[in-house]
Amino acid sequence: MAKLISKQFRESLTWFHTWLGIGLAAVLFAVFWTGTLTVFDKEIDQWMKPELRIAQPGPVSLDQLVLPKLSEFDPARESEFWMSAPRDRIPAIRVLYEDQDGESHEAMLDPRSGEVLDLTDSHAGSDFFFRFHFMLHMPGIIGYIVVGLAAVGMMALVVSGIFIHRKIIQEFFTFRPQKSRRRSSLDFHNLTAVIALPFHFLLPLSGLFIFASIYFPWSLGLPYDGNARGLNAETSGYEYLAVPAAGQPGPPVERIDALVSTADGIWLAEEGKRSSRADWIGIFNYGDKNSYVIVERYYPDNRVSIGPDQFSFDPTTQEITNRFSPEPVHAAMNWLEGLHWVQFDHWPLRWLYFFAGLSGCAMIGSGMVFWMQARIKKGTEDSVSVRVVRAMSVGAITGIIIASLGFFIGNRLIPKEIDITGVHRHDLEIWVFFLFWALSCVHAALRGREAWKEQNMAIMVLAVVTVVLNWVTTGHHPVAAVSESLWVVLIMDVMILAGGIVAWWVALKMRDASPGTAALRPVIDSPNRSPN
Amino acid sequence: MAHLTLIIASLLGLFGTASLALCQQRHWKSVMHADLSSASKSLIRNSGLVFLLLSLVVCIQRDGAGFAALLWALIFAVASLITALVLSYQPRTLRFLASAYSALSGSSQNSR
Repeated sequence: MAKLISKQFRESLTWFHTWLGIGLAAVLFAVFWTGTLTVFDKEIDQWMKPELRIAQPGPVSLDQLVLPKLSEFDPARESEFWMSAPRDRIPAIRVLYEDQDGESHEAMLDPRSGEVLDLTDSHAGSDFFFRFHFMLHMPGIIGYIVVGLAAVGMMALVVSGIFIHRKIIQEFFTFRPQKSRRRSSLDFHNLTAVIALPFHFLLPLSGLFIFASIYFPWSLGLPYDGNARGLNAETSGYEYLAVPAAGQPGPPVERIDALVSTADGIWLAEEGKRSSRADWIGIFNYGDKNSYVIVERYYPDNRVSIGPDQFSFDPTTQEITNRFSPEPVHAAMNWLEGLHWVQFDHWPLRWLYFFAGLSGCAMIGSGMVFWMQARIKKGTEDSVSVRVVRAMSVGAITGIIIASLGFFIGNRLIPKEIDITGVHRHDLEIWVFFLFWALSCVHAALRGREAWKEQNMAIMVLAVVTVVLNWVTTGHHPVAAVSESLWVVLIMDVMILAGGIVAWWVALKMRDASPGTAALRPVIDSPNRSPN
Repeated sequence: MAHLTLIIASLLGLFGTASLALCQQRHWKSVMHADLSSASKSLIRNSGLVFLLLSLVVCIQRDGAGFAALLWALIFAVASLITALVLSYQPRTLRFLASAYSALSGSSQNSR
């Protein structure tokens, strides 16, 4: 191994790893951070839209709660109408439809009464953080491209990191907080990287797979002479199961529950008692003589792999007319995509994802700290490049955390009924997010080496403000959350406060280590004076 | 039952990573303040690997291979982090495990 990796090879890889890392740190941190939050996107939704804080209902009847309401929604003739029963993480009934003007709508129904819930207009977790994770809130395809390139860069960073790590086995469990900050930040960077190495490699890889058709749009059509319908007929049930509308009005669909039970029963027979159930039910050619129902399972609860498995039914006879479950030719692909989507029902694994995501954030942060400490040691701390990178890392790391807290604070402070012509309430929240982020970046540029410490303190303050605002605006303080079994609210508040405490602790650490005189720091950090 | 198997898999993971750390001279010294004999070294390393393998088996038994590949890898990650932090802040916590290995390798040498 030693011969294999010459000194020169290692040096050039170190250069590559360092500058690629510095160049991508801001984007990668944003993607890691929002991805980590998206692990709990539905829970964030419940926190930001308090109307969704409903205790988990028992089984509900779509026949009684949704079907009688169909005409109230005024869906377009021959359009698609989708609904889904409450699930573990979403306590309400979801309905998607297109109205007579061709506009798409999503409604959430109270699982107890079937009433449409008057939700706070927020993009919350499953629309804002989720989308930011892969498109960075940029227009069109730009964000996808930036994130895709960053994902490729991430894999290159992992591989180059393995090669330049001098003692990957000997120092696998090594963390020396008592040594110089340069040494301990490198230890921490290595530790957080190597322990979850497969995670740090597989997540960018599977992310690239998910959007392969965006990155290489022409490649997918090639086997079908560019005919996208040919591809869809083989990979998507909607094309395969499609029945053209007759153009004549037909009777409304009146029974869905029985169809869902039939499909669930078949999955149960095929997969045994741990099989999972339907997640979406679609009515196609609504109001037409040829209307039909698709009962589908795309994100099974009970396994990692995702993919469509669909039955189509004739709603009048209640008979299965067709089934689409593609051959398992890309089983590995389904598993890789499923491990990125994290839609399965596995709470311990969900929490482990969350912590692995945080370890990725810590890896990026400690990598940046190490870079700066190495410059301090070299005595180039006041050069322009160091100032720029320092401001950039503070803005990228503590900045996006502050922005996220700002997003929660904006959500609680902007009145639910606010009415500004031409502005959606959910966009106001996003503006607050970017306002907080911009302020953090300005502060980072102005305050130099003090910025880290001050922004960490700001995180603690904002965390407390966030939790108090939740209390004031919804009455769900931790004790109330416990007595009303609102565990999602309780745990989110506790995690926000815990994050604040960690930030405060980091700020205190930074104060201890920097007595305010810059001249002292290189002495403290020099190896011959360090206490070990 | 599901909780119990998860706890077992996590404990096996912790024992596994702690053992893999203890088979290194540096960490053994920080726990026991003594040198690690080469006979103990291989015993500890092999036990660590067996613990990790058992952890994987429990994960597969619990959730099937698709989940187990992720669950085990992430249990390993958290166990490694805990092991590293214990070794840097409270290495004496691992003394019970190191002593057990000492006793084991001592008795196996005596019997030879």
